[in-house]
Order: sequence, then structure tokens, then C-alpha cells
Amino acid sequence: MQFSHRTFLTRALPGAAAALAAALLLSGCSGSTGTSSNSSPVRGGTLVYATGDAEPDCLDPHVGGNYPQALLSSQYLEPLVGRTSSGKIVPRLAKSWKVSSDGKTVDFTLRSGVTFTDGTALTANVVKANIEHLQNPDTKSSTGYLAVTKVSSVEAVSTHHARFHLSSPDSALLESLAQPWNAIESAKALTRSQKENCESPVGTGPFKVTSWKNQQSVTLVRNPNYRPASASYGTGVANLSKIVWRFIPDSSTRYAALKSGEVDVIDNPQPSTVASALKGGSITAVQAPRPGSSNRLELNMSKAPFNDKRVREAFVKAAVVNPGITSLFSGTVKRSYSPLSSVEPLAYSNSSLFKTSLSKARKLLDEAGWKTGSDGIRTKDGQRLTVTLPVSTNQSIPAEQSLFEQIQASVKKVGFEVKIEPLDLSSWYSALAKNAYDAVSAPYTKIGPDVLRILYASDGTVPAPSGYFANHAQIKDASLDSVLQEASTSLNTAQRNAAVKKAQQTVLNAYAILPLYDQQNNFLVGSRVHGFRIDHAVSTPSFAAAWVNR
Amino acid sequence: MSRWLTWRHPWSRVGDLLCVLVLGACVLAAVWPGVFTSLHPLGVHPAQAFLPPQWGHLFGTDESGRDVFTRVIYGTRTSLRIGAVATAIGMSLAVVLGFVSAFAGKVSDFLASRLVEVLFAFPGLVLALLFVALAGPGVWPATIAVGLATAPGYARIIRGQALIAARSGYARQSVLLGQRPAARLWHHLLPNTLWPVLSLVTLGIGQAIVWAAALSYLGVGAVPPAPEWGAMLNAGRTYMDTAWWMTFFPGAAVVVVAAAATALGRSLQQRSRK
Repeated sequence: MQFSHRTFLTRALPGAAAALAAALLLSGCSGSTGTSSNSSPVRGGTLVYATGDAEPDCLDPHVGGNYPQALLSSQYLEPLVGRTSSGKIVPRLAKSWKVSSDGKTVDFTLRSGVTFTDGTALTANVVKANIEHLQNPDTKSSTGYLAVTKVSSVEAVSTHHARFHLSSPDSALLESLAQPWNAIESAKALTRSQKENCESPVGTGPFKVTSWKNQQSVTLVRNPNYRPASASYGTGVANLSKIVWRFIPDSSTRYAALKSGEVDVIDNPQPSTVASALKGGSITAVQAPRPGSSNRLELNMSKAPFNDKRVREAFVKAAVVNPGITSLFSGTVKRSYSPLSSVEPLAYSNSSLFKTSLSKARKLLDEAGWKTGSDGIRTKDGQRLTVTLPVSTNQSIPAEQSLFEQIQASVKKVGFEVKIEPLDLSSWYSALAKNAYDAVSAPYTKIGPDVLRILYASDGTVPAPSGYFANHAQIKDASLDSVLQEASTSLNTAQRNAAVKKAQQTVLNAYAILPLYDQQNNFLVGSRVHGFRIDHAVSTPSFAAAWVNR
Repeated sequence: MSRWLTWRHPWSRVGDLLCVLVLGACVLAAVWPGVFTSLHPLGVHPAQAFLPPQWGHLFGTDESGRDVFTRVIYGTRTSLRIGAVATAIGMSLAVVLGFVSAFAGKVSDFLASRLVEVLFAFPGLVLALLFVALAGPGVWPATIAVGLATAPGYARIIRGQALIAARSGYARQSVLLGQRPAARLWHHLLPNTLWPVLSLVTLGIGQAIVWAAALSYLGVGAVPPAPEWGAMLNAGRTYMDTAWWMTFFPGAAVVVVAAAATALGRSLQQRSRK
């Protein structure tokens, strides 16, 4: 090792050069001239998609079940039913369905002539095999598993007639089955080893998986036998012959790649770049709100300090959120005061609970016995008022991480010491599993208000087969459980809606969460791309009808 | 007067003076940051986010409205401390390894030299990353990591110096005079080995500051919202197209301080050879 000017130059210069190159890329490049979207589609061509979401461990969304898997698998798998932007359930692999009068039997009629990319046909037995796969503990499913807990069995009545037997009525069943995590795969492929199925799951979607280079990309090619259920899901076989799905975790690199034309579509862009794309120019911004929960901090009620409602309320009252939402997100998101995403028609908001009041917060902490120490941090029985906040750097964009820093600074004024721990996805999961957190942000995407049952029912503290549990606030309240049960089983719309509202009020009044802003997907689309659409089930991108200029 | 006129490298003297001034200002900033700024490095003011450099905010403000100048000043303390402590750790390890190699017999020399070679096989930053991956992120793991990563380089140089000293006339004299080995080590070998290494220490501090900034830049060093130059660079990178000042000033601080320490170290090295 040489300690010389040369060492310094060789170490420092490449970094400086890279920074300069990135700066030039960001400032100087502009996209190629776009063709008008009414010109006729070009067949063939490759589209490059760059995602900022984590690379999945498994391409089969039955296993685990996170959002990165949903983004990818929507390209090669189809669920039984779909969902429109207004929330209507529409046919996909099932062409019709009928719920029995007691709500405990649901009959699905499948489309005929649908084949998987391994040549096998879609039958009722395939649907049965898929539900059993989701429910098998060896699959280690969480999202898909939690969505079908009420399905006790599936009966193949005839080739294209599958009957779902439920343990109790499930008002959310169709919404659950529209999710990518409950999509239907080839039963023959599911009999392979999990490793094999994770690398190349087999579906009926517009594309199929051909290769996966770890930490780089997944290559998808056109499925020549794709038959869309309706015009919303494409006009026939896809125009694109190939999609290269790249993993570029760094948001500035992703944006620079889009600007330079190296990639065609990116997700998770920085809010400032969305704001400038929305003003016009060669790059188009597409905003797609996600259903399910809002982005919120969940306060861990299972242990001190947040097992005391007064401390939770003090935290919520001391957290200054709104100015950060305005400045960090460049006007692309709105403050939320609800457990649910605002695209959920039954979302209930109550902003009055979340008015900042430092004096109220201090009073509450005094009452709870937390005394201010010499460094401004409160203590009680020798314990500091520390709030550990693990942050998944794969899931939180930098703007959100900055928002957490602002909350950290504002609650410090009343004596909280927030420890932000930036972690990669697997360390973050293990921090949750070890109960090594006091607050956490883990947005949950699910269609419909049934997400409340998953997030706030007492049994949500019990890990799913994957090891993941969804009730991070660890709220255990028998009366809330019964309200959630009512919301989930009631077939009477008015009764269901009232129960959904009651459940949200209970969660908000308990100060179990600090709602921050709506979950929203943002995509930036380069000028070469046409026909880019959103699949409104959980707002994943759809390339079934897309094409690119040559 | 004539001495000044005949001085061979007038610029090197000016350069040294500049380096000393820069490092002196850094030490002052590290010890009494209040001399330079009255603001708080963690003072969040969302309404004043992304202000460009102006009077009152000489280096602008960041995404949370914190004053970048104040954060750079307070960052000096973290950076200098990492630089000094990491170099001390590296040096201490290196002295042990180097002296074991030079004086404790052939087998020990063989073992210590192979250990140093194995450590050499890993690029320093990779070694540091490995340590941080095992120990978790934070300023102290990063400091120790940088110290460990720099140790093999120092160890090899110290071994060489120690061998030279051991074979020197005065060392042989001391053997002939019947001086005990411990006294010989303390009175002759240690000072004569370490004195030439002093310039290396100055160079090493510059190097350690750059590496520590690199670790924080990669997200494994200082934890947010600590004002640390590398961490500030990393945070600013996201906003490089809209708020250049968030990366420019912390980056410039790393360059200026590391360059000053390196240049001063070089100059000391040249003098020690004269």
C-alpha cells in the first residue's frame, strides 16, 4: 500500500469523475423525439424496465408475497379475476362467479381454451392445486396465504367449474383473488421443486420468464398463446417481443439511465423528477395510487415505551409531518389521516387526532412518568425514552427517509430519542421478527378494506408460514377483533361499511399508527414507449399492449 | 535574508503553511464549532428546505432545511476523529506486527509476514466493508474498520524500518555493550523506527478521512442524521440535479482536508529523507 498523492488521486478521482459524469447525464441529455401515440403499434422490439424495488428472492409470488414480486409476476401470471380503477371486479381467468346465499360457497366458471406456457390447460383442478399450494406451510406464503385463510377447500366440480368452500362468509374473497399474490400458475409446474419454480414460474400472462441473472435482470419474452380476458388486458399476443427487467436500486442512477435512453421505464423515481415530468417534456409521469394501507408509522404496542397509550399519543402529537410532506415530495403526495389508502372508498380520515401540540405531548409524557434528563431525552426507571425505527432502504425512497429524520428532530423536542436504523430488506425483516423495533413503516398493499383485518386483528401478530406477521403495531383488542370479524363476514353492505369505519376509528383513537401519506406507484416512461398501462388490481405496470419505436 | 533567497522550493513552504492553516482551522472547527457557526447541525426547518447558497446559509440548506455550512463544520469533528483514531488503531496494530516480524525470530517473522500478505490480498476498502458488514453500521465500526484496513500497509513499512534499525551500527554497538534487549528496543529501535513513520501518520490521516467518508457514503458509516461528510454526500446525491450545493460542499471539504493532510505528509516525508 502506498501512501502518496497518487493513492489519493487514484482513489478520489474515479469517484469525482463518476459524480461529474452523472451530473452531465442528469443535466445535458434529453430523450429522442416521441411519435404520436395514435400511430399504429410496432410489433417486436425490446423494452427495458428498471425497478427500484428490491430484487425478489423468488419469482413465484405465492412464496412470501411482496410488492417487488407483484410488479414482476403481473407480466407472466394472471389471477382468476381483475379489478378496474373504480374497484369493480371483472373476469380474467374466471369468466363468471356466483356466491351462494349463505356466503359459504363460491362457484367460478373458468374460461376455456386457456393454456399455460408449458402447454398444460387451465382447469378447475389447476385452481384447486394453486389454493392448496398457497395454503401449504412448505410454500412459506404470507400475502397470498393471508388472503385465502377462509377457503377451507376447492372442489373441481367439472373441467371448468371450481367451487370454493369457505369456513365463514368472506366479503373480501373476490378482491383477494384479484391480487398478483393469488395468481394462478401451472399445476404441473408447481409440482417441481420450489427452487425451480422460483426461477421460472409458469403462467398464462402476456410474457413468460426465460432467464434470471441474479442482481442484474430478469428476461421476459412474449407468450405466443396469450389470450387476454378483455381489451383492458391487451388486444391479443403482446407487441413487444422481449422485456428486460433490470434491478437498479439507486434512484439517481435509474433516472440517469432513463434520461440517457438506456432504459425505457422506471419506477420509484424521486418526487422532484416526477414533478418536473408532470410539467411536460419527453418523459411522461404515470401516477398509480396503491390500494390497501396508507404509508404510516406503526407504533409497537407490545413493549415499552409504546405499550402506554399516553406515550403513543405524545409521539403522534409531537411529530411534525406536514411541512416535510410538502417540501420533500414536491407536491406529488398528500398527507393521510387514515389507516387506509385514499383510493379505498371506505377510507376513514380524522385529521383532528393528529394536530401537532408539543405542550400536550409534554404533559402526556409527564403524566406517564417520563422525566426530562440532562441531555433533553426523557427517562423512566433508568430507561431512556428511545424509539428504534428500522428503515428498509429497499422500500423507503430517500424522501421518506428524510421525512423520518424530520420526525426524529421534532419529537426530540419533547424528549424522544429516535434511533433510525437503515437496513437492507432481509435485516429489516429479521428486526421485525425479533421484535427489535418500536416504530416501523411497512405499507401493506391489498385490495379492499379487508387489509384492516390483516393489519390489526390480534391473530395478525402470529407469523404466517413465511415468518412474516402483518400486525406491526401488535394491537390486541378483543372488541376490535369482533368488529373486524363483522366487516369480513358480513354480506350486508351497510353493515360491512359501518364495521370498516368503526375498526378504523378504533385504530386511530388508540394512536396505534401515525398516518403519513398515501401509498402510490410512480412510473416515468420514456418517449420511445407507447401503450403503457396500469393494471388496477394493485397498480402494477402492464405491457400487454405496449410497443416501442424502432 | 540570504537564506530565504537561496531557498530551493519557496512554493513548498507556502504550500506547507496553507496545509497547516487548513488543518489548524479543521482542528478549531472540530473542537469549537461554535466559532464558525451559531446554528445547530440537526436543526430541522422543513419550510427552508433546498435553499441555494446565500447570506445566512453560505452553503445552502438540505432537504430538511438544515444549514449545510453548519453540518460541514460539525462534520469536521467526526471526520478528524475517525481519521486520527483509525490511524492510531492501524499504527498500533502495525507496530506490534512489524516488531514481531523484525525481532521475534524467524518463525514469528514468517507468520506475521504471511498474515500481512493475506490482509494485503484484500483491497483496503473491501477489508473495511467486510468488518462493517459483520459489526453493523456506525461511526465506531467504521473507524475500527478503517484502522484495520490500513494496518497491513503500516506493518510492512515498520518491519522494514525496524530491520534497518536492527542492523545499524548503533544497534550492534548496544549489543556489544551488553544492553538488555528491552532497553535496546526502547532506547534505540523504537524511536529510530517510528520517527520516519511520523510522516506516514499525517498521510494516513488524510487517507483514513477519505475512506471513512467512502464508508458513510455507502451507507455503512455514520448513521443519519449525523453530520458526516460522506453521509451528506450520499444524501445529497439524490438531489444533485436540483440542489448541487448539497453534494458540492461536503465533497469539497473531504477533498480539501484530505489533500492538505496528504500534502503535509509528503512534505514531512521529504524532509525526513534529507
